[in-house]
Amino acid sequence: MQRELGKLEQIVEREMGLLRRLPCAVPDEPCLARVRAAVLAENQRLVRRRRLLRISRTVAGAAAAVLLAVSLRLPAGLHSADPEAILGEWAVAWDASRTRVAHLLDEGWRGEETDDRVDDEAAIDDLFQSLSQTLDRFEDL
Amino acid sequence: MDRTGLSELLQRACRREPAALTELIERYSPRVFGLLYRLTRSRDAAEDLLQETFLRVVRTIDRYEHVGRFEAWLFRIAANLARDRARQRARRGDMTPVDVSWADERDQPADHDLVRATDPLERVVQREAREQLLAALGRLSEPEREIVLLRHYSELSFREIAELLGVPLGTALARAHRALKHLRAHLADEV
Repeated sequence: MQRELGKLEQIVEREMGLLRRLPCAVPDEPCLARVRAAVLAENQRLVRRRRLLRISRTVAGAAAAVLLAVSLRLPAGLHSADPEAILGEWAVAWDASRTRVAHLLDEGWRGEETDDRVDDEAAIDDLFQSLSQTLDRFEDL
Repeated sequence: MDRTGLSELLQRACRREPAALTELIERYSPRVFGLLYRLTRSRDAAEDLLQETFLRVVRTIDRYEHVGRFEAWLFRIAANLARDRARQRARRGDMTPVDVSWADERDQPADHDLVRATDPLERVVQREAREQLLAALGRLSEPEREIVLLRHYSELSFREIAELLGVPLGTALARAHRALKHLRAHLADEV
């Protein structure tokens, strides 16, 4: 079977000589320039998204560690406030932070439409603000 | 480019170095465009699909594992995009005529003809031969045209093309053999 396939392949390869006169259709320079620009812009967007993902994982990890540390240091018997209500507020604040991170990750930045530096710093500031608010909720316990 | 050079280029592209991505575009655009143009028979469509091909490459390059041949991965993306476009056109009942003449003035002679292009009469003969070949290719069915053009432009083996198309090697070879037989018959009609 393999031998027959090998022979068929040789025949077909020989017959492919029919296409040797096929003209070379090449993209023109404006087309190539558009492709390069689109690819490099997309690459830049993906690089930024990866950077934010690394930052958000680091921040989320740190926030989780802080929350754990705070929860372990809670004095016993501190039940004067309504713990369920406080935990509920904390959960809402934490969800809001995660939603914000997910939104930033999904949407990314459109660097070509906005000023990259302003977007980067403003978005990261928002992220820290949001996480800080969730920590504040826990400090109230 | 030898395999070592390509391997290093792909590693740099996986790290998202812009210069490496640009080099991939420069290196492979002619062949990818050639395939897309001959499959879609539309320069505009080929340009759009060329861009989409490389956008897909850049989106997934960091997950690409260089175990096979890069060309197989690249031309699979291009061929799938061309096939998707053809299916969408068929679903929409798109009767927009494709470029009637494939002979685009921007086409360059095949390497085979460049050597003998000095004599004016020879140039006329070559041009006619090219037009006849293009007309004959246009008369092949989509699967037949796809497989011979893939072999021509990707320079992959038929074994690799069979994997790319998800068919057994025997099927790929039989399809190519049938395609070339039809091509020869159409060329005889064109003369």
